[in-house]
Amino acid sequence: MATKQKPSSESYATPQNGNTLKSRLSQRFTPRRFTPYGRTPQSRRITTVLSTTQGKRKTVRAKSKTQSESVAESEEFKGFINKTWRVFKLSPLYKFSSSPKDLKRYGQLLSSCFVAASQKGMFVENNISGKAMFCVQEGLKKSEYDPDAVQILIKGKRTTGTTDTALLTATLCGVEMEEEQLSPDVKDHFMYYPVLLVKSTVALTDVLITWLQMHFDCKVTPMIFPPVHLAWMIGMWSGALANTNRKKKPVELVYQVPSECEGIKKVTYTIEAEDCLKVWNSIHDHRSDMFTEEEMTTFLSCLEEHFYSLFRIKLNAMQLSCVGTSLCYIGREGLLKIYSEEHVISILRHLTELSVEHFNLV
Amino acid sequence: MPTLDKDKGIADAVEYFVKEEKMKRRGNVQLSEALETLERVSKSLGISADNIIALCEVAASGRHGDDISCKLIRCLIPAKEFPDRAVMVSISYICSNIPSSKIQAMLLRLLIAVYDYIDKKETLQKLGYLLFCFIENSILTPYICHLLYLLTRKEDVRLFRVRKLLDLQTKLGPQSYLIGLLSIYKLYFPNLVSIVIPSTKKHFFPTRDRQWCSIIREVQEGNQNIETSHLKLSLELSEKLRAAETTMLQGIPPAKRRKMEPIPVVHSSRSNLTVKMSSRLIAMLEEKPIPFVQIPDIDTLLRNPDKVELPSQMGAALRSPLLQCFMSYSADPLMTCRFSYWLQDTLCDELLDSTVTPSCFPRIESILEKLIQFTEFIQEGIPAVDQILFRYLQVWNGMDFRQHMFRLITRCRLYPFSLLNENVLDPLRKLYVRTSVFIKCQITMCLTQLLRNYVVVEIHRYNQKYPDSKPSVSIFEDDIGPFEPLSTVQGLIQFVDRLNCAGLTLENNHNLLLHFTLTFSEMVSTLYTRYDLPCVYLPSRHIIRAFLTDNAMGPARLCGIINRYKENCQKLKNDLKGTESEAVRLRLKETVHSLNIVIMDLCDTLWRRKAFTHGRTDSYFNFDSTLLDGGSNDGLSLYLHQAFLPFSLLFLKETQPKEHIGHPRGIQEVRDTFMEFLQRENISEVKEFITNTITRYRLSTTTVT
Repeated sequence: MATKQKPSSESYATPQNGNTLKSRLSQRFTPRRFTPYGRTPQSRRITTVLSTTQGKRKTVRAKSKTQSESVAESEEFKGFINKTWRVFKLSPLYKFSSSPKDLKRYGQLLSSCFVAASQKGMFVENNISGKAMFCVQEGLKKSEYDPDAVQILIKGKRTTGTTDTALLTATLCGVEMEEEQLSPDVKDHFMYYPVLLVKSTVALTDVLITWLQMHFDCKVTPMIFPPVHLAWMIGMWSGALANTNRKKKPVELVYQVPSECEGIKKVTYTIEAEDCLKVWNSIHDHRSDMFTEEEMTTFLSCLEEHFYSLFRIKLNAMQLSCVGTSLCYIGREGLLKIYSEEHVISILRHLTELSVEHFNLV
Repeated sequence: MPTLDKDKGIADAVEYFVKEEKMKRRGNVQLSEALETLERVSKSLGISADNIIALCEVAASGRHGDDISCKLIRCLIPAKEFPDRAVMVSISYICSNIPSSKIQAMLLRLLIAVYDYIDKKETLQKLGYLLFCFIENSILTPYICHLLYLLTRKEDVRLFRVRKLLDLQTKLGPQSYLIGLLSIYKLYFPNLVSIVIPSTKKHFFPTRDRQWCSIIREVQEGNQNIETSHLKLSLELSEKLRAAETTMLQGIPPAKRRKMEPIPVVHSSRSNLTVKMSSRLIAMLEEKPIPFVQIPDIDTLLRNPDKVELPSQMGAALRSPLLQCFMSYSADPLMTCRFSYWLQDTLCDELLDSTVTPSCFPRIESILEKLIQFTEFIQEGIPAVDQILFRYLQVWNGMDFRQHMFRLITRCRLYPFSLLNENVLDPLRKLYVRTSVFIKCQITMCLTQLLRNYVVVEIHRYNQKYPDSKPSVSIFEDDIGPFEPLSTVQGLIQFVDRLNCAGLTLENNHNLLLHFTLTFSEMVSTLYTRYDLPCVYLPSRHIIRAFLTDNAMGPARLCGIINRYKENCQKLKNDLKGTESEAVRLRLKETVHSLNIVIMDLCDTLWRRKAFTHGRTDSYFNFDSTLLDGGSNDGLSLYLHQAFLPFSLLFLKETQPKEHIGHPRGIQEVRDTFMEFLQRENISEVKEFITNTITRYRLSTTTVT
């Protein structure tokens, strides 16, 4: 007992041996709950912002658009919804070009790479054959700084099936970027896509990523959403479906229980969308299109306090690991499922913003 | 004893084969006996290296005829290792036309069989590709392919060889041995070999010598049990390495979801590979940029700097020193840009994003180690690394990769002080105040080195870059605009000074920490004289702590530091006369003032015996005189100071008779001799200080000069 508690000034042992410094790696995001590393902005936009040619920003809410417009637009994004995507961030692609000729060439190259990989026996299902296609995806270029979004498809037959199915769907995009991210001297040689969405098997995704990394000298890494980012998302999007008539999915928060508590892994906290909206409306100033940091923390602590008053469990001591709203479901490890066509752009814009923040570190 | 007999027997047998010129085949008892001994011994114990060389020459020359030569070759089972001399002999004979093709084939089979036991594989690797000339010899081709398959290194893969093999394949049809050799080529250079290697095929080289190989292995294992097992270990290791290399090259993660080694291998560029096969062959013949992978050494690189085709992933530079040379040589912004982008995302992924477990530590450490080597090589920090460092330090626990982090910090670029303070110094301060004295020392040392980096490298680089705004003074460009670099340095010095002050208080003047603090002060005290930086900064009052320790290091080094400060100030004062930099002059005036206080204090205590009765109010030793005992005035003098007391005693013991040593106070009369004594004990700073300061000495020295 007495030997254990030495005053720290006398113990010359480096803290590696003592308990003074516990490795925080397992819970890297906890110590700074609302400031991850560096800064998060004071406020974020909730819905789409369209920039006009004069460079002045005119804020338009998705819901205020005419019905036909939004229907036409949401038709384009049918492909995004109700699929589980993996979200990646990329460093700028060296010598990538989105001209049709080059895209065709990339298709051939990726196809042969895919064939080689399947012959090496990298996939569980052997002998799947496939053909890769690259094409420009319309509708995602919203600002002048956005690159042309590129869709990558690998279609092929599985051993069991007879018809062609999409084995891999991927989208390279950057939506509503606010300024040129690359310095002018190297701008011509690089193409910067902040976000890559992939839907496929793990092995195929690996093939695509390795191929991208080898051909365009880039680094593709999964986008990890620390709790603070998830908190922003739940704050911003809980009230975003205010005026639509769609059947609303409940708001869901999944908390990871610290490893010290044995027996329980996570706490899932589900709230009816309407109830959540009431809280949201009382916190957020409905005239503003921006959601502030203060509103975000207030909103989240409201929900957490409610839980505490019911169950005496302090959720703010745990890590947020997944959030779900009517718009989408997002997991910490970069999993994304979008439910609402109208908000595809908002969601992608937010992901772009997060990725760009990462890219411009200081 | 039987071993001796056997030794003798085998020696006789070998001698017989070497000496005998012509021998009868039939009914030759001696021959059959010698052969029998040889076979028996080789299959049980193996043959020593010398005998292998001797027999190899006999057999390869084929002078006893094909049959006997083949039998001899089969007996060449090494006891321990297969000597590389024998490899040389056999390859030389294969390349000549002395032995028949049957013996040539046999020799090749021998080399394949004993491949794992050859002591120096370099010889075989150097000579092996001579055999490529015989690739069209239909008897030898399978064996040559097999041997080359075993020994091919990356640099052996050449375009003309690939073409030759492809030609041969069209001529002979898809032979498994050709595909086998091509498969290893494809492994190294997937872009050169376009054919598809069937994944089902695992055995390209069916062997007829399975029994022979197993005998060799048995002999080896038998001998190993007797001796050490180091060969076995190295064999296992080499197998493991080869397996690892193979998987790495193919880009397949070894286990299902294990993370791959993040630093890419040097691949040739892939951006223009769509040409059809035939046109590619033509293109190969033309003058083309040399892919980086084919550049073996720095000489080749320097001969064709304009023709080099960069590898597809610049991150490979961390792996290849040659690429590092090229990067620093050409300083191409595109190249560094590619590298920076890659580095930023990789480090971000490794350090910040992924859920790091202790099992990934070796991997991350190796990246950081390579990165540090690289920055040491190019002698500058990389802005992208700084950015990651800024973020990582905010969440750092002070424990993981500590050495690496400190070394990266010392290479930090020059930033405006507010930026540096927020991102680097503040996290370090937090770490400093709550860790043990050893980490405090490490932090102080790290910051001292950072200061050195600034004053030696970064300030000069900054001055070159601005105001002329010359672009390429460094390999990696940063985009921080002009700012006041001197104020960053001054801010840093002030920061470290305060940190040291707090640290010495917290750790109760720990000797080790004091050492690092003094090292820092020594550095600061010579900023102008040694580093040409018009900057003076006198440490805050805590510096006097060094004087009050019970270790002679403290007061002695303090005297040295004050000496150097004096020089520094004097030189700066002289040089400043012509110029009109008001800020520096004002600071200098302040510094000289406080420096004088310290000098006076040191003189009063060490020399003049009026430590507390000097009457100066700004002194460090200004106490209420009523509280002081009158006799305490010389308590800190040169011979009574607690740090010097042992030396005084030693001095007295040496100079006084043993029975009557006397009080150290007596040294007062012979202070000059005592200073000489201290100098002999390697404490010369005190004497320098006194002779420089005390008027009597100063005058005497000036009159002498």
